[in-house]
Amino acid sequence: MRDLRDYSGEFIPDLQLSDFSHATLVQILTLYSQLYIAMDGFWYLAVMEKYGNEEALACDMHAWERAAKYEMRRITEALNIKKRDVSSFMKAMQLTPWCQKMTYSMEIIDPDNAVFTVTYCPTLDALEKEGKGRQIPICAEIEPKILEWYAAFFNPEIKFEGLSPLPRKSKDDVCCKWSIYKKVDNLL
Amino acid sequence: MSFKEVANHFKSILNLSDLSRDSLLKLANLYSKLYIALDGFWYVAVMERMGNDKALECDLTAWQYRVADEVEKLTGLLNIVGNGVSDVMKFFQVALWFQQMKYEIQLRHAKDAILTITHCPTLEALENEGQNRHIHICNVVDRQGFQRISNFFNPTINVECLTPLPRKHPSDTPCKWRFWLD
Repeated sequence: MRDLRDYSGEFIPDLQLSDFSHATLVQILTLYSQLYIAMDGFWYLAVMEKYGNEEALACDMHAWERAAKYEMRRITEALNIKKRDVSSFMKAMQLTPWCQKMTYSMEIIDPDNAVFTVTYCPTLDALEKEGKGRQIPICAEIEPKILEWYAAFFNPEIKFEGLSPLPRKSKDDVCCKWSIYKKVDNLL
Repeated sequence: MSFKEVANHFKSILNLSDLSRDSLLKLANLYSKLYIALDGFWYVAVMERMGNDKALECDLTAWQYRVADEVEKLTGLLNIVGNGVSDVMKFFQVALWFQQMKYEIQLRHAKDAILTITHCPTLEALENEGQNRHIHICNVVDRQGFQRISNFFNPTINVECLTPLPRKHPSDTPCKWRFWLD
């Protein structure tokens, strides 16, 4: 372990990420999360530029139906999460690349009830700056669907209820706020 | 925090700095897998809706955007400021998508390096898929990708693949590249 703060020195033929200091690793992981999100955006842009926004949206949904499940599978395997309740879902969400670039809070009310509040979202920020209104379908249609795909990996009965307008009305508002709960069948 | 602690104790806000070195390294490995997979899911989504030619075209465009973004951000973060062959090699060593590769780098001298990829999960997946997508991915996307990355550092860096693209047999080396300055 070399405890490097950066890689400004000589080339190291056998360099591994483990050669970096803890603080630098945190920065690298933050950047990796950003690159992951950016790669998704670059694909979207590439399809949109060539075949229009509608086709890009359709491909986005198609890709994320698989990617959401894959992310959850890999993360739960890594963490050895076996339970399939809402609180386990929240733990897995915390390790997604998305959560590394967002500012959020999660409140667990009970194992099958939580509130997830996002106060900074880099995607929403970029879409608002772009000014083409793309946040309207992305926040209102795509995001809820993708969240459902994430949750369905744990339990198809986990549901989302938006507690804030999608997309937000003003930059002073929270980006989004969700009640996440497991649907209980009414036995009466 | 270890991954076990993360799994057992919920924190309402979990920061990367809360994680131990070991957890951060595991997460880097995980993110590398997620990155490669998401790239593949996008490719397949476009291919299934519009065919392989259009998927390849979009892949090349997305790569073009990514190279500039990734090289700029990673070299900036890690203070890789040179424009030589060894700086290109440094970039590969820390690139997100490279963390799943097995490779050897031989810096023959300051202006000449050989990069040998000994394990490439994308190539393996494409070979297992059996639809021959690796013919274009290895020969077009990777060739352009390596050249673009090198050009970002220095437009006069030459890049040559020293092995057939794609490889002829699964027991062959996936690919071997020479990067050099005249």
